Amino acid sequence: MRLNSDVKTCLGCVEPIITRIIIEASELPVIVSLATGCLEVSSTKYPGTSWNVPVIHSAFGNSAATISGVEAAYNALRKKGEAKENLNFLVIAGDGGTYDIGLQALSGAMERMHKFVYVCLDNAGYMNTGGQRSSSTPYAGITSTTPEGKPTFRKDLIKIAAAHNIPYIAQASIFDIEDLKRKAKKAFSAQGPALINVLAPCPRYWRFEPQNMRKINELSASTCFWPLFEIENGRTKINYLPEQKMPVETFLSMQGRFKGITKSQIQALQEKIDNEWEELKKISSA
Amino acid sequence: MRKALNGAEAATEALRQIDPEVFSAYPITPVTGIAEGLADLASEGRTTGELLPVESEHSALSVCIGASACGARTATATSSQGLLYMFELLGIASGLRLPILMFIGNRAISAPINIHCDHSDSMAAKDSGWLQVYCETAQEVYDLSFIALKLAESASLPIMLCQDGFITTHTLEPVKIIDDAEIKKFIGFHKPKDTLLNTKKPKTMGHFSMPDSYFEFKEAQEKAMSHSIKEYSRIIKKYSRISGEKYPPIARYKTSRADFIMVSMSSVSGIAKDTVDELRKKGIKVGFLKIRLFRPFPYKAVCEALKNAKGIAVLDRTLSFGSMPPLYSEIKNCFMGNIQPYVFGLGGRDITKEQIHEVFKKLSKKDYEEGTRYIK
Amino acid sequence: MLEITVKGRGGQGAKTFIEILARAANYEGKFFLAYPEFGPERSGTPINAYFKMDSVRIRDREPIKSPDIIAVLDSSIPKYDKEIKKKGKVIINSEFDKKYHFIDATTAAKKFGSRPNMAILGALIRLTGIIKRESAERAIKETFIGDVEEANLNCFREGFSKVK
Repeated sequence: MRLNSDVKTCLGCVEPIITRIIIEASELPVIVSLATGCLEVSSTKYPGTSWNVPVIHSAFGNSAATISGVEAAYNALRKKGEAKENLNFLVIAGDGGTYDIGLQALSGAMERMHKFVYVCLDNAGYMNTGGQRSSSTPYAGITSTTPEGKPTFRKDLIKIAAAHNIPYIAQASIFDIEDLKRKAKKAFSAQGPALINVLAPCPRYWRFEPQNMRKINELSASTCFWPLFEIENGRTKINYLPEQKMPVETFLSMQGRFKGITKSQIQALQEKIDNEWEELKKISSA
Repeated sequence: MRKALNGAEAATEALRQIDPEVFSAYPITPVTGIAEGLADLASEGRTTGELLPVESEHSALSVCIGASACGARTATATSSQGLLYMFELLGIASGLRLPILMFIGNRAISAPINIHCDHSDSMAAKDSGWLQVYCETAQEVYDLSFIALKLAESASLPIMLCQDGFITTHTLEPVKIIDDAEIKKFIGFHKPKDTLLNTKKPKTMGHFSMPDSYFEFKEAQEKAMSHSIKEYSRIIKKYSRISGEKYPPIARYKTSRADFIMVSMSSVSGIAKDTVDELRKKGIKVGFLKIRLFRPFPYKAVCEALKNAKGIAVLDRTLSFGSMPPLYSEIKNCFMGNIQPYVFGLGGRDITKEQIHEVFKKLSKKDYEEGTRYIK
Repeated sequence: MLEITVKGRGGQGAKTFIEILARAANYEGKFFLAYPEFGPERSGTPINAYFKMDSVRIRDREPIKSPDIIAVLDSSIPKYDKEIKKKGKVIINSEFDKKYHFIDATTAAKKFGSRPNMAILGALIRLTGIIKRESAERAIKETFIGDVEEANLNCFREGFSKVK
């Protein structure tokens, strides 16, 4: 196993599971660039390591720049006949290291069209440092730096990636593991940057019991809070159309981080989701 | 062969001959010429490495870290705010023991914004675990590039090769270039074992370390740093065989039997030496000590050079706010007598021969003052 | 040591002027330093460019205070009488001048599709002989390519032959 079972994450954390699904989908050997975050800290404690693949962790906001250097060195050495193996390059970062401090490096790496797969494990906050808000924290979400609930809506990472015209972008969750595997495979075979944004619900800071993890992921998809879709060479395709679109309140009520959310806030969130879902449906049918 | 080159062009020429696998930089005055020169060379097919024009200095050094981790020769160039933007990665590059080559065009740090020369940028990084060498001329930039590369690789530590912004980077001078084949032979190959690309022996680089292990990482870095003084001597000896030039860690100019010695670094050394000549003609026994290797600091050699002086003046080209200037603070460890600290040239302010004469005059009159004097 | 200050406005090629002198001096195995006045560059503002030459390595990188030769690319630059050394030479871009050497570099430039700095360079080489003509022409060839090289050479030669 490329990431072994000895990863010291919290009880009920899905980040290692998601990571294993994705990394095993690569047929070729993989080199990993890790951003500072929950997974990084839990898997690289000196003198051990949970990784059976080469891994580099340099800083928090530069995982995409680091992999750019790795990929460039590989290309240069390959030209000289020195790096003979075919390899895949994978970045694993959280939403902190992607949406916020890591956005610049990610944007640069995408614009330069390096061939790598960027996976964002999106748990909607800076969980490694105690659950502060990130720009991926949803509207009204309570975090340690937004105790009254976040006053603004989330950034749309997929749209940002799409604006860079990279060959493959996908949103996924463990609601559908086969879908995630398929997306990972596609990402690794993309001829350029590929980005997968994976929902990583955090029992501790979203405040739900670990045993509800499956239900939370299911609701994230059926409420269209976290639609499963992909954009392949600019063409959008929805991968999961819920038989019955659930009201977002069913998703929110399972999480303590939305405690005290008002009716008008729920409505605002519902409207946003509905509008975006309609827009997504329109684009994907075009 | 002899070419009319400025300091940036000298760096570019050295990089052409080194041909690093990866070069990544973000443009900043006064070192933009290096990236531009390399881009031209690459487009003419005269270099083979990958050039990454990234979106910030933070990313530039990140790219170098990723590349160097793969065993590639890597280089970058920056100044002032650019260096500051890389700051968190300086410790990472050093801690990961990566022999990255960084050209610095010394430039004042903001605020206010100033594009001219002083040493506040590289001096701010003196404790980062990077080797540091200061060049007086474009010729030194050229020759020391290869020496710096070999030193970094032998120590497994990154290195900053500094030159004065504009004063050296933008001034054309005759530079003796060494034949490609000779340089190739001198620099040899860089093939570290167990790089990041080794999938059979997968390595984790950049561990999470607790109090029970961190200390030893730092100890190892320090050991490598202090050992590199010996390595430096070995490398410059080897280099002198192909170039005829000697580049010891300190350059003693008429310091033996000098009563008064001025100590400084970089381009001011030029007029300092001219002044020493003028005074020596009059029978006044003065000398000039140029510090070339700043990190690790060559304490032994400096102590030896200064031991018989009656008085010393140290000229720093930066302040260390709330403290004594950095070069002075090092020299203080090497001399028991009177030392007068001076700060000059901040934000590129010129220093004249007359002002240097004045420093020697005050030394000869035993005119010392507590605290730093400013040469403005 | 010989010291030359080139005075012009940003964009008139004072920097190129000294670069060519540097290359030419290099061919002749001389020691030199060539540097523009350092500052944010803007088209139109007066700037100085400095060229020093000697038979030994030059260590002083300070701006030139009292040049042996002043080359003025633009006659609208303010006066410089006080700077020049006694017995120094001044060459200005002008149709006529009573006091100084002159060459109508602007007309020469227009004639050949070049720039005034080339004619003044030619004039300087002719008047002072500090560098051989062949070295200067070789440096021009090394610095420019194609039509520009041809135009600049012609302008240089015009300055060389017509300076008064």
